[in-house]
Amino acid sequence: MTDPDRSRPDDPLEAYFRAAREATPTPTAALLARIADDAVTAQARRRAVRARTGRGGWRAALRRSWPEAAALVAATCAGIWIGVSPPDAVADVLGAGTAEGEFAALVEPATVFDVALLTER
Amino acid sequence: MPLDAMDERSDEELLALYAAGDAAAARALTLRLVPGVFAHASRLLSDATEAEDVAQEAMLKLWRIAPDWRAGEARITTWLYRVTANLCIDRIRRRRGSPLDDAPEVADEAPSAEARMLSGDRAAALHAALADLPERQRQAVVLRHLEGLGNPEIARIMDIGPRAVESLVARGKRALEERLLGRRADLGYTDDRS
Repeated sequence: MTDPDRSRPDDPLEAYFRAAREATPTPTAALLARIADDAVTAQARRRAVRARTGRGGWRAALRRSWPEAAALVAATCAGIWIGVSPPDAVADVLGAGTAEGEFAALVEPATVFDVALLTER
Repeated sequence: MPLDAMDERSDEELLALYAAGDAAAARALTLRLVPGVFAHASRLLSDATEAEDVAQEAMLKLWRIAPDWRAGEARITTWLYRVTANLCIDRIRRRRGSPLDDAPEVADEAPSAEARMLSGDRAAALHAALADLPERQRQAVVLRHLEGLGNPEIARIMDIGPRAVESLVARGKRALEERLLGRRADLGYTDDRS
């Protein structure tokens, strides 16, 4: 990571920088061993997580939470059905053919100003 | 894969091998990267024990992000310099917040630096003077003059522009000169720059 060739001999601080570069601190064997151990531990942890959530894991998760999965499928099917063939009530609200502004009046939410008027007094 | 065969591979290739489960790649990366990380942390912190903790923490972050490392986006050494510096700066700030550091800094440091110069230990004198610089100036001077990096890489590490790097290095060096060279004259040193 070091390129000592960048030193400048005419720099008045160069003698100090050179001395500091020559006294580069080196890691102990114990530190290197600890760091290599960390690497192996992190690897093992990843393997364990993969084993839990990897191939086959999603089937086990589905077995545990089938009611939620069934509700999700039902809601999706209902959404698609309403989109493809909307019931009359929905079609009226979405109002094909209504005058411009009517639909906006139907869905426009109360503004902060409206709320302030209601709560005044 | 034997360690010798790892020498030919780039840092990124080794990290990808490690992420795929190769333990030898982790050993090769440890031997290749930790000396630089530890040296940088030591220079910023001036404390070997704390530097060991920082080196271990920085490498642990590397092991954890290995599977998500996106090749070609940044050099691993650049990323490590940045992580290491951030960890060091956190520790320096915590030190400053501790009760011992509430006392004025200059009074105790000056005789120590003079004594070190008298003993000819320039490296120690430099580290004492570096410790008095603001964090970003210290980081820029260490990266430029001790790690030997160019301004563009320092800019990437520090997440600033090359001009800001130049400015930080220049201000840092001016402060070091006042501290180190000013005292040389006070102490009667001749113009010996060897």
